[in-house]
Order: sequence, then C-alpha cells, then structure tokens
Amino acid sequence: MTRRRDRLPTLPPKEALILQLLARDREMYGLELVATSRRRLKRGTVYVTLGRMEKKGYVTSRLEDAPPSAGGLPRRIYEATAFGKRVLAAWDQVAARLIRSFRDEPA
Amino acid sequence: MKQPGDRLRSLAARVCSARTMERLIDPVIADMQYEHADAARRGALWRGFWIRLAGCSAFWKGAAMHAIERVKGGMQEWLVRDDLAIGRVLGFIAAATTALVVLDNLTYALGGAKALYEKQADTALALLFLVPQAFPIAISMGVLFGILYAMRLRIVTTGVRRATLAIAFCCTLASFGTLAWVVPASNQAFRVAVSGIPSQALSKGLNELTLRELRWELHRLNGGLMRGSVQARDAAFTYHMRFALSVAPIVSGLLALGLLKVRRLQRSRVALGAVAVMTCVCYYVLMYASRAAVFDGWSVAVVWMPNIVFVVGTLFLVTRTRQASGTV
Repeated sequence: MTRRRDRLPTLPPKEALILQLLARDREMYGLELVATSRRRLKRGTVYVTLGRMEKKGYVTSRLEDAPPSAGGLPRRIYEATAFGKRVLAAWDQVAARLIRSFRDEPA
Repeated sequence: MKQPGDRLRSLAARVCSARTMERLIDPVIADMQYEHADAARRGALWRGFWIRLAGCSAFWKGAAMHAIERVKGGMQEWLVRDDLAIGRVLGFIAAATTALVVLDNLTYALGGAKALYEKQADTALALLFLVPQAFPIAISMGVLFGILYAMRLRIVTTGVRRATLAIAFCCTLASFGTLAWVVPASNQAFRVAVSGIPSQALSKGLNELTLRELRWELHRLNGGLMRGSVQARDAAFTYHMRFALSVAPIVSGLLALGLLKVRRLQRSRVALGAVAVMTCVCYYVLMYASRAAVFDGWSVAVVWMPNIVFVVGTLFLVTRTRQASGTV
C-alpha cells in the first residue's frame, strides 16, 4: 500500500502573482502576464508555471479563436478557475492573519 | 513562408510529448511569432531581431526548467509507486554499495596516499587496485540497507519478495566472482604498483592467490609437516571465508525481509539505519571471532557461523512476528 497524505493546496509566490493578475483581468495571454507583472514573471518560465497551475486546477487555457492574420501559431489564453480564486483568497486570509500575529507578538 | 521559431519547434517536436508541445513549446513560439509579426508591420527591424533573440532564450529556459521538473517528478514517483518496487530495490542497493565502496576507499586514500606519493608510486592507479577488495563487504551491507530503505513501510508482496531474493542471489554471484578472481589479481597489481617489482618476482600472499591456487596451497600445507600449523589454519580460513563471505548478500537479503516484518522498527529511518549498522557490526565481530576460533584449533566449518547465526535470527524474527500477528 502506498503511503499518501492529503496535501494542502500550495501557492508559491509566482503562482499567487499569476492568480492575482488573472483574477483582476479575467483572461490573458502569457506575454501579457509577463508585461503586466512588471518583469516579476519571465517569458521562458511563465508557461512552465502556467502548466503546473493547470495541472493543479488553478487555471484553464484555450487557444485563441481567430487565426493570426500574418500566419504563425495560435496563442494560448489563460483564465483563473473558481478553485484557483478560492485558493488565492484562502492564502491571502492566512497571510494577513500571520502578519497581524507577528506584529502583535511581544518583543 | 518560414516563421521565426519554426526550426526550434521542429527540434522540440522530436523529443517532447504532444502535451509538452501544446502547453509549453507552442505558446513560447506563438508569442515570438506574434511579437515578430507586429514589429515587422511597424517596420522595427532591430526590435524584430531582439524579439527573435529573447524568444530563443525563452525557449531554452522553458525547456530546461521543464526537464528539471520532469526529472524531479519522476524521482518522486519512483520513490512512491509500488509497481516500481523492484527498480527501487536495485537502485537503493546500487547506491548503498557504491557509497560504501567509496567510503572504504576514501579511508585508504586518506591514510595511504601520502606514503604512496613519497614512494613515488602511481598513487591513483595503486588506489584504484584497492577498490575490488571493498566490493564483497560493501555489497552485502548494500543489500541490507538497500532492501530496508527501498521497501520501508510498504507491503512486500510474494512477487517482490522473490525478485528481491533473486537480486540478492545475483549479488552473491558477483561477490563470489570478485573474491575468487578479481580481488587476488587486484591485490597483486597493487603490490606491484607500490613496490615496482614485476609480478613474477613478487611472491603472492594468501590474499593474492586465486581459489585454485589457494586450494593447492592448502593441499601442500596439509600434506606435509605443516599440517595443523598456523599457516595451514590461516590458509584454510582464507579459503573457506571466501565462500562464506560470498553468501553474505543473500543472508543480508533474508534478514532485511525479516526485519521488514517488524512494522514498529520502520517508523523511524534513524532507528532502521541504527539496526542495520548494528547488524553489520555483529556480522564482522562474529567473522573475527570465527577467525580466532580457527586459529585456536576449531574446525574450519566455524567460518560459516556468522551466516548461520543470521539465518537462525531471521527465522526467529519471522516466527515471532507471525505469532504476534496471529494473536491479534
């Protein structure tokens, strides 16, 4: 029998940033996320992070509808799922409580 | 018309899965092509050149990060999945044996390298000749540690048990081959490398004789006035110990499978390791005790004492755990 533990959904900083941007603007391309993040996200690695988030169920993606007029591959558009938004909200709450408790901690 | 990134995409298509192409490679290439088309429309040539450069860099960075994640994920799966148990046992045994061989030879290297260098011997080559003699001991300990840690907290099915014992048996054959032929040859090569005397002129000690040569030496010593002498007993011990030590991996394998029945022991990695270390120490204490016994005049059959003690101990452990589970 394999030893398994129920895992808490994790939210590393880059994934949290992507969810914050997608929660604000609904749908974005990968390069838009890089540009909007003010270079906190990198072009090469943003799609690896997005792929990981898609496996976790935090985001969904689809290919853009209309083919580009100048040719080339269709781009992929990303959107936060309801589950991803709930995970972001839960982590924000936990982070806010922790920060408050550290500030209230007597020296 | 060729688009920027087409060559990279066709290169990636040869090695990546369809999913990786769809979720990682195509988005990176699509972004590069979109931006490049936009720059071309505006007549910004230098921007187009920079976009190609940035796009290529993004492609390789993404591919490298994905490869690292795949290896990491693959390792985690290998450690967890029950259907990969045999591979895990083999991997752990190989890792433990290699670590023990390196550790054993490191102590030699640290202790003997200076002396070898002063003698102007070919230090690296000389130390390499010492590697085989660590192997029989390392592999029997490696089998014990490897099976214990690979199968810790898992249910050991009949198939896994059989395969594990088959692996231990193969380790026994490897150990026997090393003790019978490789160790004598490498020991002699080490002595030649250190002394500079040619092999034919350098008389062999007991540890440099092959099994056949050792058997002749034993006949020679027992046939004449040297019968029952210290040299004869030493030769008898060396000869029979090679067989007894060869069997140690399969004894270790049986013991490891017996220890795996004690669930309480497996909860702590440290406790499991401590028991494995103590077991190895006991084996060597018994081995040296058997040597002393042979020199004291006891029958040479006493060299099998460590193996017999451990097999009996394993049977006792298995019987006790069966009785304990029967009364629950």
